[in-house]
Amino acid sequence: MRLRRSNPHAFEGINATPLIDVVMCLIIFFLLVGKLALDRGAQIRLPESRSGETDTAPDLLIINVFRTAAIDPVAAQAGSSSFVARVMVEGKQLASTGELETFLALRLAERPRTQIQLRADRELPFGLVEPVLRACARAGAKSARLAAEKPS
Amino acid sequence: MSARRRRNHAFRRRDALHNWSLHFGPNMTPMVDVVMVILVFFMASAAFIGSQWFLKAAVVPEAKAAPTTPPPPPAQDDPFALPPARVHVTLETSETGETLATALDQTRVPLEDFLVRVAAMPRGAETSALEVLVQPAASVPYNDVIRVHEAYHAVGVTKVGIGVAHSSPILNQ
Repeated sequence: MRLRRSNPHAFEGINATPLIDVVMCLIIFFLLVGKLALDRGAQIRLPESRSGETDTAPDLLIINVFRTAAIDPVAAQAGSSSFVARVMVEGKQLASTGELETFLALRLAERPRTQIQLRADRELPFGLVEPVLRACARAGAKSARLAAEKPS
Repeated sequence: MSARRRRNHAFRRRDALHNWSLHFGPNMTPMVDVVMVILVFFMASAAFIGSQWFLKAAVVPEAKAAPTTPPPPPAQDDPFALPPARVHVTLETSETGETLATALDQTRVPLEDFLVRVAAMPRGAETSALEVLVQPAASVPYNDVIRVHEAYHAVGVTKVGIGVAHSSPILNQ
């Protein structure tokens, strides 16, 4: 009896390789964009600057300082400022500058080449930004990158 | 039916899979897919990063930020006088909320006038060697601090520090 040869072009199922490639790329894309959005996408109106630097640091720590809608009654009575600032590092809100200082000291001890980038709202008085800079200095940072927006 | 027409008819009857087996060379489809996704990724990340840059500032500790004695003003009549190694710029706000700057021979001048004076500085070795320490008061808008930093950066002064001598307990009440 003569056996029938199988068809070499028979349907062997869907080729899933391109699908897996694209899905993996999409996962990586959303992970990275999510991280970027977490650090840089906070609702902060950065001060404008016509000059600046754009080089990238391998180990960058972004500190977001933004004002909230809440009014600080103590400061308003003192006549200094009615804003309340919030400090956010790596998506986590810190309760005080002491906590920020501890966090920065640990980070700089672990990774001494860490560059600190400060993203502060342009409408904040310097008195609300200065404690963050002071925490950086006390934690051992020599410099900070003050983020600014390119004028459109 | 001629032999030539029979031959053409036989070719037309081949199915798509058989035609695909006649292709040769690498399959470009996955590569094109991945390259397109990478292209979209870089476009999206450029939208996040591209509109921002930074000004590098030294964070000067409190002890160094508050000078015990102000630096002496430069001699106006001496043409050979060297520029001071470090310039202290003090920013404060007036009763009307205007930002005033004090540096060298200028005392409590409006910020706009001060920035014009800074912009008129000649670019050269003197400016690149200059160290500027900005000491803003707590009530000065952060935007004005950046404007002073930007003005010095634009004329080639790269060593700009922000003094943190003033204390402000208002944070995260």
